[in-house]
Amino acid sequence: MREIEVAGLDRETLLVNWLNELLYLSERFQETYESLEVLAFSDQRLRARLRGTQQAAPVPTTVKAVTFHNLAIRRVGTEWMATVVVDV
Amino acid sequence: MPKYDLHEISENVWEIPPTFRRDMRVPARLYADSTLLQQASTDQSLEQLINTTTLPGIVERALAMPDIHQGYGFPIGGVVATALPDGVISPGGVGYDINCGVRLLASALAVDEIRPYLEDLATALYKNCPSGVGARGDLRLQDSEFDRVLRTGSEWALGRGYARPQDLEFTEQGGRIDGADPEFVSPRARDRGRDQIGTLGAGNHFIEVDSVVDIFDEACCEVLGLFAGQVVIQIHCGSRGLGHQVCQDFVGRFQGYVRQHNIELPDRELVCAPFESREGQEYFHAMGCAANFAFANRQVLTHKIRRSFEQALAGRVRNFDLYQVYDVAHNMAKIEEHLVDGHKLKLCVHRKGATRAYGPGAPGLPAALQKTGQPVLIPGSMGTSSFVLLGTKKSMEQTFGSTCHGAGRVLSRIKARKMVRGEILQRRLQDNGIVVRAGSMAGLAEEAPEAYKDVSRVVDVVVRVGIAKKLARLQPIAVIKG
Repeated sequence: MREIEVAGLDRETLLVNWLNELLYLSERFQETYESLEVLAFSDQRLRARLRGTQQAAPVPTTVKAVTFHNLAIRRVGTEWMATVVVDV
Repeated sequence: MPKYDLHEISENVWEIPPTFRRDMRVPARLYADSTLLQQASTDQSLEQLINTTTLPGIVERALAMPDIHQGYGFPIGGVVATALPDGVISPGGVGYDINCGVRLLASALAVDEIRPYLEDLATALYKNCPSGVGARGDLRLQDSEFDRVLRTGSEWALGRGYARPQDLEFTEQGGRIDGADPEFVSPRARDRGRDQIGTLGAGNHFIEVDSVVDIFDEACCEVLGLFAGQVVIQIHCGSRGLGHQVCQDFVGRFQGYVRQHNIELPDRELVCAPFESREGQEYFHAMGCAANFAFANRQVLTHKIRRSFEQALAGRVRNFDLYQVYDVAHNMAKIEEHLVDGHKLKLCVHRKGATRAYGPGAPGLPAALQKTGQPVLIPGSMGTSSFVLLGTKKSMEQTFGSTCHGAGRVLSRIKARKMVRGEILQRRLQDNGIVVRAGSMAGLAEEAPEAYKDVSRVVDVVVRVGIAKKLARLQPIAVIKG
């Protein structure tokens, strides 16, 4: 279990920073994540508790980076939709 | 092409005037024949090319090579020069894989001498050169030594016995970007790179054993030591996780910078800072470290390849030694002097998926290459031809000494995997006499030749417009990838 906190200029940057943080932790500690509990959340800050599993071998992800390409967060009715492009 | 207001100003040279869009500062130029132009219009690459014309301090025009395809911010195949001191540096103009590049090694052997032992050689290369996503190397470096890798690149490798002096002499910039300062490389980037020196990675990175099948200029080939039927080796790889993290770090950081300084840009991946600003300098120093990491990486792989040749061929062939022909970067920003409107200007030249192609007499070339010009290594897609070109005087005049870098993708990895089965592709390659060692069938499928443009067509365009000249054509006999 990990408690992590990320910040961003705006909602979109926060999303990219959040995903990049997960990517880094997964690669660095050979972990995969199953659930998260949001502890604090605003347009510029996210603190959460991550629950996951340590893996025996490097996680075979092909994601090398999370980019700002075509990045968009939109409200669609009562839901939120985000477009994020990852570099593979 | 009504959509982008493209004008063919001479054969294979297309321009979009700055009147096309309000925020363009200079024209956009694309080198392409009609087929490549058609391919370029099927993704966002032309839009991205136009976007690069908005960068503050850009001079002359934004350029795109015939292997242009969609990237992040800049198109891949893009070349943009900005004038110092206020002209910007943009991490998106270098790319995530900083100093992804190609190295060519040559042997004294002919293909026939090596054929009986090719399977053994391929196995040795695959075993000795770790490949695949997250591949870990066998070097464990203390922080201070890792700093030396980042500061000095190939020179560190020379000190450790992984290089010969001649290897450095025949590497772009001597295998060391000056001014690289590890202080500006984040702990995270260091973490990602620490275990990866001497590893190949995955995707379109590979080691290839080739045969020289065509010689286009006998005299220049003799200078470079190339001959018909010769066994040569290409290495294609970059700065691994470290480079990716450096790019990520600064694309993230510059989001705030452009907002603070009211720099309006059409794409968030185009973020930038003036070269001489504190932020611009910090990126440049960090980029230099990632570039040096990649030079060191290719150098350690060279050492492992030499060892593999010895293991597989000692006692079986007369001379298994390998010497370096040249090593080029195709994702980099360099500070160079070029003539702009008759004046010599100091420029920050971004080449993303484009290669430096300095002509005869250009500064920084080793004495032996002053008359020939700089070798340019153009890897084809898997199983197809690769080319060795030379830079020309015209490339210095027209493209800030730049040319194409490879074939350029036409299909995404996902589409390629749907169209092609890795096992069938492997069999096809083997039926064509190519030995394959691949860590992943899905990875192999993603690199199918169908996913790429025709490299011969790309090379024909740059030769036709005069920004490179053909030296030799190579055909693969063994492919090693993750």
